[in-house]
Amino acid sequence: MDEAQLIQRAGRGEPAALRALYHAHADRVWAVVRRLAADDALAEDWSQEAWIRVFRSLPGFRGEAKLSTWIHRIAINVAVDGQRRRAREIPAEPFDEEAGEAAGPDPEIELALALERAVDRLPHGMRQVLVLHDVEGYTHEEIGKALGVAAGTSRSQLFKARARLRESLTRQNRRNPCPI
Amino acid sequence: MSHLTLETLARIADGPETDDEAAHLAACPDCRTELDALRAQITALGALTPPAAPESVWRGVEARLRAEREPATIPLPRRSRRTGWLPRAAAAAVVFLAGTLVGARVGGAPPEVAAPDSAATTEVAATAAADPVEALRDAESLYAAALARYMAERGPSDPELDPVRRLAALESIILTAREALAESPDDAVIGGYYRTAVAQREAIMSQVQLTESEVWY
Repeated sequence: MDEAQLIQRAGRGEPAALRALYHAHADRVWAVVRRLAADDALAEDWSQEAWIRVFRSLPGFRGEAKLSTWIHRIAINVAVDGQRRRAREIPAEPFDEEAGEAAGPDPEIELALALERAVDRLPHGMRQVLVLHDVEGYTHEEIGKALGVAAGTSRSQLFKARARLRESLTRQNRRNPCPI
Repeated sequence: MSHLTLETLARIADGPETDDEAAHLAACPDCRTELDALRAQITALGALTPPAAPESVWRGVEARLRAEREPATIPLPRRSRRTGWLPRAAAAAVVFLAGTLVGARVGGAPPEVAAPDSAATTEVAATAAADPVEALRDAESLYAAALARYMAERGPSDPELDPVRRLAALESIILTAREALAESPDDAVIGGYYRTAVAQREAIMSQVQLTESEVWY
């Protein structure tokens, strides 16, 4: 079954097509939502919401963007909306520089884990911009549109986030050396 | 000589530095080291591999898809059945949510039509035990009228109207109603709101599709 057929069948709600579509894109959706959420339970809720929204919107998918891009951006929108709701309910979290566990023995895994943990500990505004720009490769214009801020705000948040991340990793290196 | 700040170096990592910054970098090995480390950090972030999605995500999605196919199987109200105060209170809460959340932008003021309709339909919910079928009919018409008035007042061409946010609001109404129905499946009023919200959601989907090109993707 090619992608066009898959979209058509999933749009009609055929369970096998929905499942196939999900499994083809699940990891990438989970990755961006998990990194934006910095929390497993939240990420699970938001991922489910994103997939429900994808499936409901499929009949209107006109192929103007690649399917993977379209799904990915729906997931980002859900996570950004979720973060907005959460920010109204819960005051901004403090930047916890001390949190984090000892990493594994493999330097590459160690580096990835150190990065993921440090990203999780960033304040959510910085985390969103850093994940969308440096991990996902979106432009500041795209990020500004997604977050409802000016591109310049996205830029300045990114530079702050990178600096915070660097500080955090430097402190972590002193306690538990890693390759960055 | 004071060093360049990390934020400045984070900016330089992406693009051209000023003449002063270039001169400083040429003369300062510490700042060059930090800049290299920042660039390595950016490269490493871009190379992160996506973690595998947990199985529980699909299980949750599947359960929701299954539940959405079930509205028709929600049992019709039985006249003899008396419902407790809790489901009726939940119904009132759902109506209030409908009045205040549906169509309201996040952070925006609730639509002006919400208050009178909320009050009116709360009265309907309170009398549900006396005649649930009648109450259901009245509540559904009030809800539909409130939505219609909302649409008329804000207008589908209103630039502030955001179908995606309305959809999210309806989704929370559906979830709330579904939870209430799990406790009290025979409650006519909540069942009515559930079906109405599901129908509204489907109607909004077509609007979302029409405006899809305007969203950021």
